[in-house]
Amino acid sequence: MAPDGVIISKEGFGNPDADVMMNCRKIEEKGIPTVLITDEFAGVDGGSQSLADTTPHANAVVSTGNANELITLPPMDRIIGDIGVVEKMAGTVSGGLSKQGGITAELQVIVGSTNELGFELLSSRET
Amino acid sequence: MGNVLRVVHYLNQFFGQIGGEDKAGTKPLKRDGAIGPGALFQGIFGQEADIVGTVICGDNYFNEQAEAAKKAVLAMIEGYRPNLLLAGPAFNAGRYGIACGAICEAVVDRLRIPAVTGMFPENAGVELYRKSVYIVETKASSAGMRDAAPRMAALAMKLVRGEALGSPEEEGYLPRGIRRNVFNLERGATRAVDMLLQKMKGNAFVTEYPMPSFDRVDPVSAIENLDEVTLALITSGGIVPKGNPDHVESSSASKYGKYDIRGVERLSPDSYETAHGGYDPTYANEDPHRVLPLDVVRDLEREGSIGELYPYYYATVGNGTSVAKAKGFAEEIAKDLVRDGVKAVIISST
Repeated sequence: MAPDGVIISKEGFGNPDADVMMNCRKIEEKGIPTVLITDEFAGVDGGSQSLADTTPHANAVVSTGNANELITLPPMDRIIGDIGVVEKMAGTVSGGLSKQGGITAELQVIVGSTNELGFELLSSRET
Repeated sequence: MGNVLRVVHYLNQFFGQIGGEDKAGTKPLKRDGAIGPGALFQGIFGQEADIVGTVICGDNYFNEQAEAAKKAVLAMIEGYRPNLLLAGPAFNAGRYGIACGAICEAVVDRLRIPAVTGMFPENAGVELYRKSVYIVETKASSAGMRDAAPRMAALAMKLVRGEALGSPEEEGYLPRGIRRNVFNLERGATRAVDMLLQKMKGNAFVTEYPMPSFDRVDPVSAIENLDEVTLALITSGGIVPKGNPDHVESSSASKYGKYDIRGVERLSPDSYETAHGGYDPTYANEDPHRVLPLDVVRDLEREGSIGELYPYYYATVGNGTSVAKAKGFAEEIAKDLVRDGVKAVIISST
């Protein structure tokens, strides 16, 4: 294909982090400039390393947000489905359902919120 | 005067006008009002904030009697019922920087008020406290006081008013390594194309996630006498006793479980299941050995290929679990294993 540049988007985290870093290293070693798009799992406090792998070649990264960051959803007037799973789904936290009906959970409960195709405006930055 | 913010200022013996190195053993003491560089800060605050007290401690005393000093300083600060703490700036003075960092961290944690200090980036206090404390970047020596004070004051006022902060560069503080979500003006895809075009042209670009340096561990050499070693099983694939007694989360796990497998020959689907929320659990629930290979390891044990299987296995969920959490689990588990003489571990992931 002999491209002049490559953008690597991603699905998932953990094992795909290792795949992306390996691909980035191999492509960069062929002299082809590469940009990665990824979300982050930097922990609820934002203080962890964000990805499960790294390479010095990944010097151009677009972040689509920290999926571990907590959000609070206000109580809804009408509930469809089973509220019982609200503290068991991926990204929900124990005690996250308030008496008033609000839900505190990690951003990752909203599927696609940190879309790794770069479809959204969300990003994460160091503070 | 009801709206005037109450500020306490922490200084060492030198800036607190007690004396030089010969007074570095000075125990914590307090003075009402502003002292030394406090006058400069008071001038910047004007009518908005009042430096109601200054707490001073010798650098040697603070570093040699850290807990006692911290406790005494904290009590003096609390006595002034402040809305805000300023500490230093400490420039490149290491002992002073460590004291400023420790006091700011304790004040934010215990008194729940903002605290700001200032240091030169190479100050030893920066590495220790940058994650928990706002440290404004200063020059190496006190010649940088007039430059540092307005930036410290401005950041402190933003924090005390609860205003949104810009990036560390915009606000002038040293990056804390804390990631926070923000909405960008452009979509991620657009930013990626822009970044790639700049990179292809050889122009400058700014990555949104600078790569951390990873703590990589060299694999140990192969085990020669496997038939004599105790082997342990660990999984991040979420295999737990049925009912998930420790409530290991299906994602972003905050804990791991340690489960007794003495006398357990096989993992029956009636007794074990997966807590993992990141893959289709059907096949793991149907046969938990697909994730935690106890069956094969028991066979190896019986054949004498391994010495014995450790009486416990450890399980967590590696789904969206941060590196920092995982590292914490590993440190605890490794302590157990080393203590009990385990020489080999099989870690299965999903």
